[in-house]
This record gives sequence, structure tokens and C-alpha cells, in this order.
Amino acid sequence: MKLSHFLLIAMFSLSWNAAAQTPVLKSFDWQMGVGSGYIYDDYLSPLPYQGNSLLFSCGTTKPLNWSIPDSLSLPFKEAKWSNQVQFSLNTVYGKSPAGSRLLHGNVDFRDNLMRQLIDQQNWSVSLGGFLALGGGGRYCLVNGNNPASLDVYLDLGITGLTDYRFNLWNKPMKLSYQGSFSLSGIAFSPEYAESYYEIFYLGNKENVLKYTQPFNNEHWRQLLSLQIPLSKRKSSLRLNIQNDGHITLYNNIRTRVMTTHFSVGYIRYFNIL
Amino acid sequence: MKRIALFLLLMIGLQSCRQEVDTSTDSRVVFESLWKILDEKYCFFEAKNVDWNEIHNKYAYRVDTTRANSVELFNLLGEMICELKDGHVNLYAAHNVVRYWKWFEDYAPNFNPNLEKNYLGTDYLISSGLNYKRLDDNVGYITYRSFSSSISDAGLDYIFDYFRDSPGIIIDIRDNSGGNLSNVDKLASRFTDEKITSTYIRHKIGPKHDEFSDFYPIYVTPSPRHRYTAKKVVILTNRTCYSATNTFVSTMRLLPNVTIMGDRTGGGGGFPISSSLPNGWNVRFSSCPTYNSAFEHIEEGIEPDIKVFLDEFDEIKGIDTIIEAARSFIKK
Repeated sequence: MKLSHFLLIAMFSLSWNAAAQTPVLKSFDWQMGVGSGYIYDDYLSPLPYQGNSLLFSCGTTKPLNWSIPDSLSLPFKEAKWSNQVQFSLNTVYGKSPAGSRLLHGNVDFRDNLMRQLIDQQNWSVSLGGFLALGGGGRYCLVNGNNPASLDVYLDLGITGLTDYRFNLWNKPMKLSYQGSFSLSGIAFSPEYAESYYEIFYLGNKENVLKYTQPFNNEHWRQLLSLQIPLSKRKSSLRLNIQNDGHITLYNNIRTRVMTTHFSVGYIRYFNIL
Repeated sequence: MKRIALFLLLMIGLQSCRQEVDTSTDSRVVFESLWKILDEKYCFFEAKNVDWNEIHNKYAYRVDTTRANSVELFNLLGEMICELKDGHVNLYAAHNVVRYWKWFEDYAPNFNPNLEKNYLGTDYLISSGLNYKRLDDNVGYITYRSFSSSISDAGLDYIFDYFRDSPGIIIDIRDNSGGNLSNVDKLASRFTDEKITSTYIRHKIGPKHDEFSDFYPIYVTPSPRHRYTAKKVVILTNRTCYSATNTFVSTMRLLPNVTIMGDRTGGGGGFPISSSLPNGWNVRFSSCPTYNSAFEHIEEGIEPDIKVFLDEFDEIKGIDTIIEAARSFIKK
């Protein structure tokens, strides 16, 4: 069992039921998006940077049955638990009002575990938690000895998913909204004016790992998506609006990274016995 | 549809949760921005006994008479930052760079590049940034004019082997105004058989003038390659030895076979970082102070073990007084 699953189970203390073994659906999805990004990092500059942003993400979603280890045995619709693994890669090329440039990149890997709480005919609601591991950094093209800053984080948070199913032009559509917010974790940060030379060349790593909670780390993701079936139960086209935000205040250093993307994706469903 | 509208509003709302930064290029905003950057991150206010608030008051009333992005504003800001008397504090614009160079301009140069030719001649050897030659009396002579020039390990091995029969070597770092600290480490590690604490560094941990971390030691570890520790080494210095070169001198003076000769170094004991102003000008400043092994600031320079100045009569005769003093010292 993955560590994230264990932590989330402990956190929510929820119970589940066994079910019979029948074919299930597992989905794979890929998205590519473009949008805009806002970057502020006062370790590098007191100026905000804004610019175009690119996003690539992919992931899988599968139902879980906890009573039978290693099984994917519940019909997707009946599953009470689901596991969603997401990987995303984001880059922003920002420009300050003064014309200087900054490059931002981020990689985020997260494992979501959700339990379906409401399952009505047209809509459903799932709630759960996630463990995210991510990192990246910013490179300021005009700075000398401090051109870059690094992001590394391990976040534990809550996530909620609601689906609304409806028919449009005789096609079954699904509108989904998923919101995730970090509650706790650890992150890397230099001290206020500590140089990376000092941390990585001289080895002064004291106080560079920070315990994070919502007061010093607001980290969220919102994903609104419309799924349009391409072939019955096999694949869908997905149109997304994804908003990510990461606001931190560690060691008196403020950072804000906010991106909004419109992305087009493809979902493929697989029957798994 | 109401739910969808609510979600969209939430997204827009979160996207707008930004702390707005004043990015106007108005002279007042640029002035205040520069003053604040230094106020929060410059590291030598207390060490230099500078009242930064008083300096704000001294210059603030003059700002409103300057046009945005004008040369007058640039010069005014330049005047203000030169109050810090720090060679690592610069203001960069497309048309000019503000610099404080009095740490060497106000002193005798004690170095004449034309005299160097009389010692190196034209048949000297070159290894990366190091020029070297055996002088007539077999004393080794090495010049290194910038710590930004890389040093190769294989090159140093060859140089020390080349000077194996010399009674000692002179390392002439006059007019070397700094560069990469990694080159300081690489070169100094060839002159010690023991791991030593060469310097200490601190960094600011908050915006107040007295918020500093503990002292963190910087070590020099003996190189596993060819070392030069059995014979005399003389380091030649002048007021233009600055920044990384200053750190090199602070390290080398701790070693038993090393003698520092020439004039006091220029200083530059602060590790500099950069920041930007709203109008696109950039500022560089010292943010992490470094100290010698006795926890003393090296920002104001380091005294040599033996003070020797370039004699103008020697200079006319083509003789470098400081090199000659070093040769005599080695042969003694």
C-alpha cells in the first residue's frame, strides 16, 4: 500500500465495503494547454512577472476495492473509492513591467484518493485527500549571483470532485469540477538572503526545510472540465480550464505563482478484469 | 448553470488574490524601491555605522525634482548608494553603471603592468588564467589577474612540478579584483596539508539590519593532488585586490609557509546579489558578510604581513620593488 494511501486512510478514518469481482474501467488522460501565468518571488526581484504559460498533464483514474488487495474489481460506477494519479509539467516565460524576463518551471506529481459520498442519477460528489510531490524553480535573466530560486515541496491536502452528467445534442456529456487544497507538508526554502552558493557549495542547510500549513503555504488546484464522448465508453475529448496557485511565505521570502490554462485533452477508457 | 458560474467566479477570485506591487516608473517609486531593497537586504549597515534612514531623508526631498528614468535620477540614486562606500554596490542602467571605486582610486596602485613584462618576458607559460615563469634566480613567478579565469587541476599539477627546484614561488594577484569563490578554494587547497577554517560567512535571516544567521565556517581542505607546502610562498597584493581575491588573501595568510606582501587589499567582504527596480534598472549589493578566522570583518581589506610599496625610482629603472622584495624574502 502506498504511503499516501495509508496517510489518507488514517486522516479520514473512513470505512468501505467489499464487492464482487466484475470488469471495471480504468482511464488514462492527456492534456495540453496554454494560458497565462503570474510569478512573484521577492528572493529574486520585487517585481511581478506575467507571461504565457504552457501546461502538459497526464494521469490515470481507477476504482479501488480495499477488501481485496491489488484488485480493480468494482464496476467503475459502483466503486466507492477511486485513485487518481496526476503528473503535470508547467512552464511560464514571464516579463516584468520593467521589461526583464523570468523563466519558471514546475513539475508536480500527485496521488489522489477519493471516496464517493453522493451518487445521484445526474451528479456525484467525491471527497478525499492527496499527496503531492513537486518541484521546479525560477530563473531571472538579469541577476548575477542570485539568478535562480528553487521550489521543492511535499504536500498533503484535501481534494473534492463533483460530476454533473447531462445530454447535449443526444450525446452524454460530463461536466466536472475538482478542487484541491494543501493542508500540510514540507518545503524547501533558503533563509531570507541566504545564497544558494552557501547552501549547496558550502553545505549550510540549516533551516531550509520548512513545515508548511495554510498560513504559510496556500497551494491549490482547480480543474473545470467538460467531457465529450468520442466513442461509446472508450474515449472522450476533454476541454479544461485549470487554475493553479501557490503562495508561500517561508523565511520572510514571499512567492506567488498563479497560472490559468485552457487545455484540450483526450481520455481513454480500458476494461480491466 | 448557477454552480458553474460560481466555480468560474471562484477561479477568477483566487487568481486576483495577489499582493499588488507598485510597478510605476515614477521617480519617487523608483527611489523608494531602491531604498527599501537595500534597507532590507544590504548587510553592512551596522558594521559601517551607516544610518540608512538619515540617508533617505538626505536624498528624498531631491527626488521630486527629477524626471522619471532621467540621468538626473540615476545620478541621484548613484550618489545615495555610494554613501555605503562599498565596491559591491552598483546601479546598472543602459547608459551607465554607478560604482564606488575609492577603495583603490584613493591609493597608490603599487602595480605597473609594464613592469610585469620585464619579469615574464614573452616566453612565459600559460595555464588557464595563470601565467608563470622561472625567474633568473630560479624563483617561481605566477600571475593571476582574475578569479573569474578558471584554474585546471592538471595545470596546477604541472606548475608545481615545474617549480619543484625553485626555492619558493611568488603569486602575484595585484589588480585581481575578484571572481569565483570556487577558484579561491581550488587554488588555496594546494597550499595546505590540513583542513583549516579559512573564513566565516553569515546571511540575513530577516529584513531588519541586525537579523543575521550564525557564523558558518568555510573550510579549505587539502587537495588530494600535487600540493606546494614545503617551500616559501609569497602573495603580492595591492588595493585592487577585492572580493574573491580578498577572501583568497584572508585564507592564505593563515598558512605557515605563506607570506602576504605589498599593500593592504581593497576589501569587498560581502557576497553580492542583485535585484531590479520598477523602471528596469538593476542594483547589486552585498548581502552576506564574510569574516576572517578571528570573526573580524574583511570588508575593509586585509593588511599584508610585510608592507612594501612600489618605488618610483625603481619603476623608472624598470624594477618592480614588490617583486624584488619577494625574491629576496624567498632566498633569505
